[in-house]
Amino acid sequence: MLLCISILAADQPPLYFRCIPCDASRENDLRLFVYSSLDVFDEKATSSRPDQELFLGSLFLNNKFKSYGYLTNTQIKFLAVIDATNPTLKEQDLRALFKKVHQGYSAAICNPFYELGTPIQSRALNALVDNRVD
Amino acid sequence: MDTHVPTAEDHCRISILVRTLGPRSPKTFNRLMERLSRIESIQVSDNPKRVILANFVTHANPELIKFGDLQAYRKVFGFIGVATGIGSASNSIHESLRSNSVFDGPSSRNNSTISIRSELSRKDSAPLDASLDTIHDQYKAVKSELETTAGLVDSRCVFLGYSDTSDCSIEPREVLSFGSLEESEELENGVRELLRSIYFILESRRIDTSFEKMDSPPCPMLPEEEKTRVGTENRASRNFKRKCIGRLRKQVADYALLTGLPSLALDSYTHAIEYLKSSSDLLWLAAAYEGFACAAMAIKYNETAERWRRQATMHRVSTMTPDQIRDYQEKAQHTLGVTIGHQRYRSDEDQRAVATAAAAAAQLIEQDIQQRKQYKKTWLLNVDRSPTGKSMTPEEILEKFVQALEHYERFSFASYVEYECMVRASSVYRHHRKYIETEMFLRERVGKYLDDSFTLFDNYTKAQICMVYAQIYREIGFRRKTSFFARLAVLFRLHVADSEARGEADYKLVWHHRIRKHSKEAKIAATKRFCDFFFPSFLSGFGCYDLGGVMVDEATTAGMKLGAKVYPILYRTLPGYGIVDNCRNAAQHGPVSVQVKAMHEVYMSALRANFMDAAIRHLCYMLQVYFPEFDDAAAQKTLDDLKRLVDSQDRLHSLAQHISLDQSGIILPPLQMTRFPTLSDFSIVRLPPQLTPRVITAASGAQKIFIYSPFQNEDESNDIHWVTNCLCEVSVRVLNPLPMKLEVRNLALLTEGCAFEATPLKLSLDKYTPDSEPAEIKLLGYPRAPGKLTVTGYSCEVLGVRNVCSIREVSPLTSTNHCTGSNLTNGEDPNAEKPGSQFTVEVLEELPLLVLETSLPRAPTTEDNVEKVAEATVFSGQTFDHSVFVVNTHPTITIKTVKLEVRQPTVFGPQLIELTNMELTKANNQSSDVTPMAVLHDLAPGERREVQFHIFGIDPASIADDKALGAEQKVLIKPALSPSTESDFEVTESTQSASADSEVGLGTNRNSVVSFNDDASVHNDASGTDRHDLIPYTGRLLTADFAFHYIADIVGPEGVQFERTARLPLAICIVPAVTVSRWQVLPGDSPATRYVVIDVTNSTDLDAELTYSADRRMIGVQPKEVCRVPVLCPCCPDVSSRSFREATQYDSHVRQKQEIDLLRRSLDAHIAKHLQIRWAIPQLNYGGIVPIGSILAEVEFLKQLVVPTVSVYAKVNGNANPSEDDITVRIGELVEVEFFITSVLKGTKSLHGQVSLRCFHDLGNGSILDRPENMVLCGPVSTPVVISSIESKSTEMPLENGNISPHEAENTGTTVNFAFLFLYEGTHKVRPVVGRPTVICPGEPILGEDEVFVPTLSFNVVTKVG
Repeated sequence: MLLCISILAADQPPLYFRCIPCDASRENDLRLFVYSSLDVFDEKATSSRPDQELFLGSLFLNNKFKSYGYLTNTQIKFLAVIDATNPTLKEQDLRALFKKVHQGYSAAICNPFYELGTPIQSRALNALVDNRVD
Repeated sequence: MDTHVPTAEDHCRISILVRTLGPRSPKTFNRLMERLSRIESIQVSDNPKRVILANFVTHANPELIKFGDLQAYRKVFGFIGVATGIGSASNSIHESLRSNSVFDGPSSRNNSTISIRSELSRKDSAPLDASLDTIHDQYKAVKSELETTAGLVDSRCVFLGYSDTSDCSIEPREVLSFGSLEESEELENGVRELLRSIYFILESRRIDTSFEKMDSPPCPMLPEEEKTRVGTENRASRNFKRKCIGRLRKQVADYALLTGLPSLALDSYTHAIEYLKSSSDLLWLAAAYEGFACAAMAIKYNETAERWRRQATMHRVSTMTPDQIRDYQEKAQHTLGVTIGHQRYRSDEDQRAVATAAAAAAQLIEQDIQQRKQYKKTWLLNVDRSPTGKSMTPEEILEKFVQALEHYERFSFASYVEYECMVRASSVYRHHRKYIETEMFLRERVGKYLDDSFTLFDNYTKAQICMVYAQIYREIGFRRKTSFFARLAVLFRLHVADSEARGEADYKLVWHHRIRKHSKEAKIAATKRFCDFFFPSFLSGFGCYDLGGVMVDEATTAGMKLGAKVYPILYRTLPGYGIVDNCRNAAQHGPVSVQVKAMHEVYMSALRANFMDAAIRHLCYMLQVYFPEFDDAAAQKTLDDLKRLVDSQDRLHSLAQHISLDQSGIILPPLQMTRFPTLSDFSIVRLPPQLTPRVITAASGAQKIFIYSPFQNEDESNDIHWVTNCLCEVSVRVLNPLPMKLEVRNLALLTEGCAFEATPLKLSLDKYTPDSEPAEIKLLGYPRAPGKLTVTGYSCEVLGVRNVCSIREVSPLTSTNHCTGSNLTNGEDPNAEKPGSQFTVEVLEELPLLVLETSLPRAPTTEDNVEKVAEATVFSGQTFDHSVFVVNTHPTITIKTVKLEVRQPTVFGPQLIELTNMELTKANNQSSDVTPMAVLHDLAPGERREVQFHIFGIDPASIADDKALGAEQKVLIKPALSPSTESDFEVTESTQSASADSEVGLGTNRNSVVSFNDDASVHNDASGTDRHDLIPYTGRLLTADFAFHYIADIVGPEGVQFERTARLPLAICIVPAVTVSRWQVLPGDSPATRYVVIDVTNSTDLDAELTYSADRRMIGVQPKEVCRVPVLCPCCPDVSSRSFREATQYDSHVRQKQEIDLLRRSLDAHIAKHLQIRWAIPQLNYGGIVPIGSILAEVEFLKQLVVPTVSVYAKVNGNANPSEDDITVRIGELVEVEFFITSVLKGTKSLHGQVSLRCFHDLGNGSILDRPENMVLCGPVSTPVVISSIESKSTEMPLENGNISPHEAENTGTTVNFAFLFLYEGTHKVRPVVGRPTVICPGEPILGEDEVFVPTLSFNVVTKVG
């Protein structure tokens, strides 16, 4: 089950972070987990990727969370954290999920009132996180 | 904490212990160490070329030395004692004393360092002057200790500053004596000598393979092994022999590695493994596997070069001559490419040299390998494995490591060795840049060592492991991991230190989530702990009950030292959380909540370390960067912390200074706390008008190329100029974002360019509320020298710290708010768009200031107007003398010229202000635009001159509004009473408007005729009803202006001159003595006469006498009283009312005006005779004419004095009723009205018409409501009339526009009778209407509405009862 989605700009500032409703400490854990996944993300992103694959696969895991990464061609980073104890979510599902996130992101930045580099407010993305929680 | 990352290279390095003997001099010692580290590698053999590497260490861990037999590199083969004599150490004694405590601290904590150490420190802290004997004793003690425990081979004793060392009992061979460190050129050679002698011994051990042939070879044992195994083995067994030989081969292999023969070592390890495996000697087998892997790595990778490259920033390797470097450079270039392939950071020459030197060393090793190939023994296992091309694959190396790890795992006492082996293994991935694999490898294995149940390592060791991890992650660029492990290290470190102080509950908190066994889960436990580490349990973990300064004072020294160790580590983790020093966009690089917590920890550790300044800096940083993220409570708490911290300091903390923490090498950058208070919208304010200098360039008078250029006016540049020693201002908007009051002290501008003396301000800002608006304030200062002045920033004391901010930090804020910002910025700063120039202003040299003194009272009228307005009150028509003194207040500078310009309302006739002792002349005769000026020359410093003038009480009405005084003036002259709205007698409304005004020359016979300029009349035309509003109220405030333009006797660069202007505004209130307040025109005795009733007001405090009318009637007026003067005035026969209408029929506007002007002139001339009222105040002997200009200005008035074409007179019930009073009738009472219609119509045809009655209510506001149903007419509703024209009987009569004299018209008339009654009560008005007949005969003249004079009858209808 999906726990959170985070979007970061190329030069790191977080653009979007949304996690399932939970208490603050868990949210902090998630934030920290996303943050610590970035090391691997950066490494994977910088290592050569001959295939134009945007999906970076699994980044980081501990016994609670597992993170996946996705890098757009404009170097925007998408991270999704899922529950590591739940084996039902397959990589294929995550690919589909990231595709939706990508669409949501594209829609969000198409908003003429959105200024690039500022935090994103997107109902579509929020729904993506919220709907997955069930 | 030392963070030496275990590498495979360690296996190739010979450890040499360097130790101070006698008094310490850390400075000398460190320099010595630095020099030693440059001679790490020496070439010991040319053919084959072999290089040995030394590892100079300052302390050796005895726990690890114990493994010296297992892994030879752990032994300490060499020892260098450094004795610093008094001579060279005297200057550093104090330093050493001070640093003693610092250095003791860590070592006493670290109880695992060699035991001699504490002994030594005790010894040398007592006697400062260590005699040679003491040094000798110490030297011997260390030497013997090392010989027994660590396998010492050779040693040296370096004496610095000892004059005579010959009587020392140390062997002369081992003595290196120098006057000082600077004179110790031979030191390097001495140390190389030491290395060589060690090398020879190790080499001899390497080639000693006699054990192969021994029957019972010696069995090297570890002390731990001896404990467990001794006596249990059959020493005679073949297996035991194989074990011994295997172990000895392993040792030989170790020495081969140490002496620079890695490929040979590889062979020996292979042999050792063979034997050890068969004898199942697992520990040694593990060590052999590790050695094998390390040897393979030594061949495959050049770790030495890498290490040197990392250290390149610290020092150069100077072991090679430049020639050598050049020699090797070319070779290295390509060999590196093939064999190593990891050297991509050769960006500058320095690094290149290092890399080359390292490559040289590597190449030496390679050459050795190639040499080995030639003499390769056939029994080598992997014969075909060439060192360059077909070296072992990383997988093979890793496999060996993994095997080693598996075997090590069985021996708990060797777990540290195991851990080091694991780290070495991970470096294989690192060399191949498989960082993700590195991370995974490390992550999977680290948990085991850090688990809380793993008690073999104390927490200090665990902390070190964490530091090593942090270091590895830093190298591979996982900065977040680095931060994580650095913090974890800190936690372990603190855990040890404070285990007693920590409360039970806190302890539980940490251990509560403990998950055992699983290595991965141990990591989670660590994570938990890590989370716990967060505020606030972190704080309680410190045993910190309170965050304030008091607590800090009570903190134990141990705590401080701990903080001092922890702080730099924590501080360096900050970039890992995306916290950057540049605080402008710091919050953008990571999760804010984590950042805040990390910052808070750093702050706490700084506090504990007693780095007060750093703690303050961190708190300020948090406030500046994360304030928007704080809720009120957190902000309050942080502010309280800051306040307490600041209060505990006895001096003001300055945020603008770098804080350098010497011991940790951290330099905290300055911080600009622009948030408290938030300043925005800086703009340079122009000087007030009386101080603003005008720069007159020398060229401005010269002939221009263009006769006229539209840009000419722009020569008057809009630049702002400041003047030296003149108070100047910068306006800024300030806001307090804090939820409490904020005190800002010493808020002052910072400038550069020329001397500027800022005046500090103290502000007290109210707490922030959502609707708080930035307040505008002015920052003041005096420029003290001419030049270009740039406002760079501001400084202030806020929240107890001194804060210096650059305007550039603020200006982005300014530019974004620019649109909403003050219009002051937009209006006053034309350069606002250009960054940079925005805050630069030119300061002119000091200029004299002219001060005006006047006998008139002065008072400021408005707030912005600094110049006080002089006030005067004069009677209309009087003259009063006054004077103005001009004073040059400057003590030294002369004013060259003063030009006086008088601005006053333009009037016809005598001027309002007239200079009496000077003359106004036009400076330039060619141009009529130039205003006349009076000129004063050479006003010496301090000189006073008088300018005399008199004020004449002109009739205020006679002002022609000049544009300069414009709009304000128009408001001022709005009359208090507007006759057109106030009139309660009937005026036939004129629909034509063009006749309103015209230029009328001032009649000489009266001084009181108003002239309007065209502006006003056009305006009136447009706005219909209130077109006469501009008629001046009699008696009003006039403004005039003395403008003194003065030029200082200074010539600036390029002949520039400076002009300033001093103004003396005058407000002259002209109080008319006797004025017309109200007037009415009533029908006169006959259709040809009118009564003009004028209310004359005596505005004075004295009795006035009025003389009026042709028969000189007199009337007295009391002070402040109104007197009604009825003047019988015959209608003007010269002008017919029709002619006004005709005048407007012309197409040309000018023509219309001319016509009306003509009409007016003739009317004026006629009326002026009749309406002249003279006034006299006998007490003052003043006399004058009541100004009737206001009346005459009205064309409406004039038109009423024209004989109307048709006049209707009414008689009600047989009585002529000229009065204004209502006629009271009752409902149903019959009213009989007789209208007598006369005409002065001239023409041949008579006029046909019909008269009817119109009944209406006057609603009083100008509108009327027809009520025909309220009236019942008895008899005819309308009566036809014939208005016969008058034939001109006498040709001598002045005939104008077809009119005749009214006298002749009197007897020709028609009478019409009506009878009616009212049905309802109320005030009803009845007016005859002269209408057109239903059938119009052609050629009949048409009556204009304004040509008929009809009275309106007013009836007050009451009920019968009333």
